[in-house]
Amino acid sequence: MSTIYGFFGGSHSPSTSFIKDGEIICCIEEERLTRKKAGDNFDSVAIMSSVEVEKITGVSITDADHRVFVEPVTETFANKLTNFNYDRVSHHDAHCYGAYFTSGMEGKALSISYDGGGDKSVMKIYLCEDGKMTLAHSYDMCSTGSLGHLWAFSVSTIKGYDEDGESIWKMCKDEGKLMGMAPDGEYDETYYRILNSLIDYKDLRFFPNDTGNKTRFVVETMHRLGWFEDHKNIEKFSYNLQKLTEDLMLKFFNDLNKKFPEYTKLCLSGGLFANVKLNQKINQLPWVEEMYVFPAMGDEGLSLGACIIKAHELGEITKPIKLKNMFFGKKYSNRQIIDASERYNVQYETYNPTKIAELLDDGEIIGWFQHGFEYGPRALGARSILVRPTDIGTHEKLNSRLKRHDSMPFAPIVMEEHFDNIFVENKSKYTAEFMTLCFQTKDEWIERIPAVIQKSDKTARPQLVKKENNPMFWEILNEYYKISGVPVLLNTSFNTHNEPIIDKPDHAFPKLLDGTLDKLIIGDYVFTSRK
Amino acid sequence: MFLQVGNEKILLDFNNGITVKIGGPDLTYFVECVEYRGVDHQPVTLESFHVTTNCNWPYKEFRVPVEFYMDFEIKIYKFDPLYGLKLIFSHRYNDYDQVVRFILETDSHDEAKFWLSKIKEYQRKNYCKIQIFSKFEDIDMESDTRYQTRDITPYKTYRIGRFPKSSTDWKTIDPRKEGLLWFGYWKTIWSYQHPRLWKYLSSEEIVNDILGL
Repeated sequence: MSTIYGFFGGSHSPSTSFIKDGEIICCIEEERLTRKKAGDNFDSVAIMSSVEVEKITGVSITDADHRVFVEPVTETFANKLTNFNYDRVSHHDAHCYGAYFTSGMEGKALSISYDGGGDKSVMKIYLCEDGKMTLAHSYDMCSTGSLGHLWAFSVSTIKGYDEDGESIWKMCKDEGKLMGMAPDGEYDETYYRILNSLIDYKDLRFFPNDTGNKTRFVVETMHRLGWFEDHKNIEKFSYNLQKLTEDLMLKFFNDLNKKFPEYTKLCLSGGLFANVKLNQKINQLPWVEEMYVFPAMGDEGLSLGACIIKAHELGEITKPIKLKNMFFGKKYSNRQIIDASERYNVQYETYNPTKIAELLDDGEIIGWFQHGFEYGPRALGARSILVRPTDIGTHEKLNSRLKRHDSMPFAPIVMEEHFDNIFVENKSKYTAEFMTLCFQTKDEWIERIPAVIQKSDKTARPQLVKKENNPMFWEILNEYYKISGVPVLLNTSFNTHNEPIIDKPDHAFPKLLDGTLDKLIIGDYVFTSRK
Repeated sequence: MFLQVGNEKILLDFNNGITVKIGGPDLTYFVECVEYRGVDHQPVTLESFHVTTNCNWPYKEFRVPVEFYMDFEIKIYKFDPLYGLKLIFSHRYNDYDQVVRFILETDSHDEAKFWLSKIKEYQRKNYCKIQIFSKFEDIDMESDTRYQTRDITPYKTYRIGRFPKSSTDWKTIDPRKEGLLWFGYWKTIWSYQHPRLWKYLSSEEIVNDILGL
């Protein structure tokens, strides 16, 4: 049995992971420690996260049995960190292995990765069955179109540049903002055709190549010619970008089904599958029995994928496992929490879920800090902010407190026992534990939980909460349900505008003092400002 | 080579790498250089960016520093407000019946003679008109004489030789880069120019690599 370090630090979203004897112990994204989001920090390496994982696990990098880097590798960093003793794995292999071996899927499944490109590929397709993976297709980056790049370069050019030449919106960071505008836009033949001139699909192939530079040229030209001076046109652009993405990807998945009809389960990874609306459309395909999106679907998930490849090679992970949660980050003891609190003008009392549920029902905004922080882009109950979902005004109030300008709706957390009552689709519920796809809301719930429903298309991006996997999170939901009759709460990530999800208590307390939060729950304590 | 396509004036030059210049009513044009690598493959992008016609930012001309043989195509696009990215011109490398200049950088007559035999092989393959410049008159005389003047601009120029020992070019000093040329951030391509570490190449390997034989 072995200790394995996995690293990714090639271009953006660096991270470090650690597996011991086939069990995932620790996964940390660099951005949580540097406090700079991936899109603000290109060319960083996993230096802080590697040190942190060493501290947490007590196993030094050089003493571990294996060290695995994901391509593209920053060689000077890798050599220095490992004393020239490391293995390399392919970028898309790390995506595909990470997704399949955490999918819990039995029998046949397809593992598919698609993004802007990593080492020499833009996409890979694996045929998987009972722990065995066989490469079916690998798409060369220089000759394949990338929907990931269509999004990334649209985002980085559509708002133009500041006086320093920096793009206003950043790729690998602001794609969600553009996607969030889609429901407010409308179909426009010209916009659709312009976007379609940049990428098309036929016979399991996306073309033409070099989507990124072509997109930058076209969107930059549109921006220069004043197309986006009217905000409505950005919404229109977004709508048609989303529609084209869905149209092409659904054709691709249907063709894939014709080629491999016996494979009706899907494991998806790569930055494109951060698009929860696209994922919903894929899930709605009648032939899809089940789909799973790797919770750290972007490049931040590669370090765990690297560990999994090595553990599989060593025979220490032989079958897909199911993740109970994504709390693989830094943890803080009650002692550390109390010590930190003494640096702030706060008071505390012991946590009482019934009392907190009442405060939530009264409309208070509650900070929620438990466990190790999450691995991946979603706040799933370790660093969350909770609010009642029943008030439509919550959206404005929260955006104002969090200094966000998002048009995206907030996401709901839902008790497992009530999930089917609220949402239409009743498959792929395992992936819903990680908030990676949208579901259609049943009519009778739309008016009851308006703060977490996208008003134009009645969808939501729920997190299904299981009692056995996160009892404390389930308990607060249950207490709120007892009071309100609503087994749902609004859950948004614990961060303010433009910063990564928080790491430590010292990041949380200032949010209480500056009025972002009404109450802060850390560990077994409820903190209130003394101001 | 000057061309006029609609309202656009285009200059293509393959004599010192690949250079493309465009003049026209639009402020920017998008230029792409793709390589064909075998019959059933989609072309691979080697380099692409947009050029501006009236200022130096970001780029006034399109350049790719590739001097070896490859089956490439230049594509020029403009933004059409009704159709998006619109291809307005393409040119695939084809030196059939064109004047191709070969500059032989060697002091050895035997080597120059050997390279001449390879140039003739290239000519038989491509049906171009050859123009040779070397340190040896008898070698130069093997040119298609009508074209033996430096005054004309050839379609393509090949320089056949070795990097000098004093060279600090990364291709000559970094064994990790052996066989690779990098374009842009993510693109890695194989080349015919010194695909193996140059100092160990034989005379034949050098000429074969550069001429794609």
